[in-house]
Amino acid sequence: MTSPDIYKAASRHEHEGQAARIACILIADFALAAVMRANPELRERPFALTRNSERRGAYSAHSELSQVSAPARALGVRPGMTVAQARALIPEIAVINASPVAERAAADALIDVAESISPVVEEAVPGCVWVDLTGSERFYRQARGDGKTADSTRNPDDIGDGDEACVTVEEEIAAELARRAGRVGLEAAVGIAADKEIARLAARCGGARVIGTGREREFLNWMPLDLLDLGVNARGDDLELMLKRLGIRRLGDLAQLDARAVGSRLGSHGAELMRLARGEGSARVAARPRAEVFAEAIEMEYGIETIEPLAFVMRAMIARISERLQMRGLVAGDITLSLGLADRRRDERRVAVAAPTIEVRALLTLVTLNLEAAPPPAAVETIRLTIAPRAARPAQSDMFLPPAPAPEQSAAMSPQTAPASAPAINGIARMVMRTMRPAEEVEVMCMRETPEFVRGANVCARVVSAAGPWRRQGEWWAEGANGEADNVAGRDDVRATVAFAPAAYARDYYDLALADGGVYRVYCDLYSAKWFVDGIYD
Amino acid sequence: MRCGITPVDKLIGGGIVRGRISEIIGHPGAGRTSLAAAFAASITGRGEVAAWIDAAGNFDPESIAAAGVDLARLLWVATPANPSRSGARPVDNFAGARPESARATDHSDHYVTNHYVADHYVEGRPYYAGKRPASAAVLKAAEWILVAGGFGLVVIDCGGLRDCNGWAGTFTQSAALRLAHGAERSGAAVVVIAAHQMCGTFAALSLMLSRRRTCFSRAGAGAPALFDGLTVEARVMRNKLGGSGGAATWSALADPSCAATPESALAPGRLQRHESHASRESANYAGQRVAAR
Repeated sequence: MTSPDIYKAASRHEHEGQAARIACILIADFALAAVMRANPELRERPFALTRNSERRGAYSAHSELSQVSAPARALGVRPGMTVAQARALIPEIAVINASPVAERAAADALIDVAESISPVVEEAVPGCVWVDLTGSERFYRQARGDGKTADSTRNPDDIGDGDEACVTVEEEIAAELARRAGRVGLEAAVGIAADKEIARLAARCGGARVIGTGREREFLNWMPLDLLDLGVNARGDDLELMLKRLGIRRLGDLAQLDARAVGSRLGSHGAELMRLARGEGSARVAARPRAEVFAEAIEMEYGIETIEPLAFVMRAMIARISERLQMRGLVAGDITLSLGLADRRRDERRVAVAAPTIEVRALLTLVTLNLEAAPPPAAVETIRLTIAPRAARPAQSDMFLPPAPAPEQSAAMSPQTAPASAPAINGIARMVMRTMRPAEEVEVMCMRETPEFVRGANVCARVVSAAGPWRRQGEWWAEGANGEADNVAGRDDVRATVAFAPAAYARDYYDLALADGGVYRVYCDLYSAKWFVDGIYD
Repeated sequence: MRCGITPVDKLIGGGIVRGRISEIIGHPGAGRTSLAAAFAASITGRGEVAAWIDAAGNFDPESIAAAGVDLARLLWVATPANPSRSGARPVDNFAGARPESARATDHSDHYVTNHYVADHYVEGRPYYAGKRPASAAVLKAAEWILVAGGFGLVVIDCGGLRDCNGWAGTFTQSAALRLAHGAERSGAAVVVIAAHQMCGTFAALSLMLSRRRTCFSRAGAGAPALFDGLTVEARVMRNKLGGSGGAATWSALADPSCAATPESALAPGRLQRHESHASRESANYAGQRVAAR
């Protein structure tokens, strides 16, 4: 189903009168969450954000804190304090400038999480995404294996049980959304309801909350106002405080008031709140086109001059994009790396990925090799990493052979990323051959086609043990090889095209342990019937 | 610097020493190159860079890579090939130039005591590049690499290096001294593969390898035989940093992944196996070899 078909299907549900089900994925303190996602080491540390329009890292002691992490809040630091005040309370507090690029990357990741569940997704603000789940519970019910009881065989008398089953499936979807958000480094709250705003209110309660069909009014009546973060109205009055003075603590209390009176006293914010309290929100999710480029960006406080710490930072970025791609069933194609340098220049480079993969290690190795080949001319302050998505390649298994490694695990993807085999497994070395260049011609005496004695300029000994032969034959298909002779060197089974294709070869290889103590690799050239020593195992 | 082969690492006190010369000596086929490749695999596996000076043109990149060496971190230095191995004629058969005359005209000949003039090929025609011995080129390359620095391991493979008479010479004292000083200054471990001791007293470690057993196996009666590998005895001939005379046995296999444990690697009974006691038989056929020549 193509994207326009999906959007048509979404609108068709509305026309058919099917009850809309909308999920809201909400990230609390989104700017903080985006910074923590880019710097996971900050999760346990008290830190705060400032919003300076000046250069990154250039905040003063009088800069105001815009947002404060939970550990810092627990120790008394609040938004609006200056950096100096925060440091007086917590000397080790980290103060970081808010990062718009990190927020954009986190918002894109959140949209990818939503699109992994349903194609109809709308972004309200960065950190809040609506997903249209209408009808999608059928897929999950079928995926769980109880699809037979879902619709076709459901008894009309069991509507209640069916709704309960539906709620259970939606709870699973909500939990799955939260889990997938965690995979891309975001702690999300999920709410599912029949309306966008009610779903958002459900998400504001935290965790995963499902408001069943027909129970919206009950939920709105219960909804405490202090969970809404009402802010101030146009005149600068604190709405929550004003409503509390009027004895209104829940949305249900507000819904019982006269709408005009609320509008005249509280302004447009009050009227908006009134509509919310009465459940007069929109149920339509405006779908957006799917993202085709996956990007992650990070701004660092200080420039990075060496490859190793740069690779450390990029590993986390690649891992996050890899998770996003995996959720969409895609793999990584070519990588575009855009580095912002300390001297205000930009370093743009493109890293080709021969075999699309989501292996973080392989992708990181490719990027690192590219950087090592041509290091950035100055310290790196910002990194933007964009990966072009590719469809995963299906691999055809052989009927008779054991399954081969997937293409992305193949060492042939890139010679640089081929994992070096262990030099010694359990204390056993790997045998190495010493090649002779060119191969040394020798005389070999055979008995019943088994080598018995080898004589040459540097080798002259009896054969003690022999293994082989293994035939190598090739290039007989080369240009000019358009005929076959009957017999070569007395062997009927060798294709004789040497007269037509000079590059053609046919050799029988043997491993011969000779009486002089060496184990040699010897081959017989079937075209010339000559024997050569190829090398010695040493 | 460990090689990863436990018996050898234990024997030499944990590995070879950086900034010193270590010699791996033995007859061709005794497992010298496999042991040096294990050291190279260990060093490149840690992200360091190694150099392999291939004096005789025997370097096989395919099997070296299979031994675990990261070729992207290995500098392969090819020097003039050994004429006795490469099939080219000795120099005195070419132009009548004798080793003595080369010694008289070339100041670099003090690197080797028993030297020959190596042939170089340029555009398919042999010529004599200053009548310099191949060993001199090897030592010059080693000096340049050690002076350049940045290498964790420098392998000098003189294993197949022979003169026109089939006799492999040794480094002179001054050449070995310069090599030892270069290793000490650069901090690189220098491993010399040779048929016998090349650096004399300047080597910190001399490890003599000898083949104990050659194993072929076949999966069953009538099945084709396969070459499994060697069992090698390593004996410490000289160790400035530890005791001498100790010995250990280890295995070098064509496919180590088939062996679950070192004990089972070449243990009898795994397959129908026949061993070649070639060391005994070589004595029996020595006369025949001479007669054949």
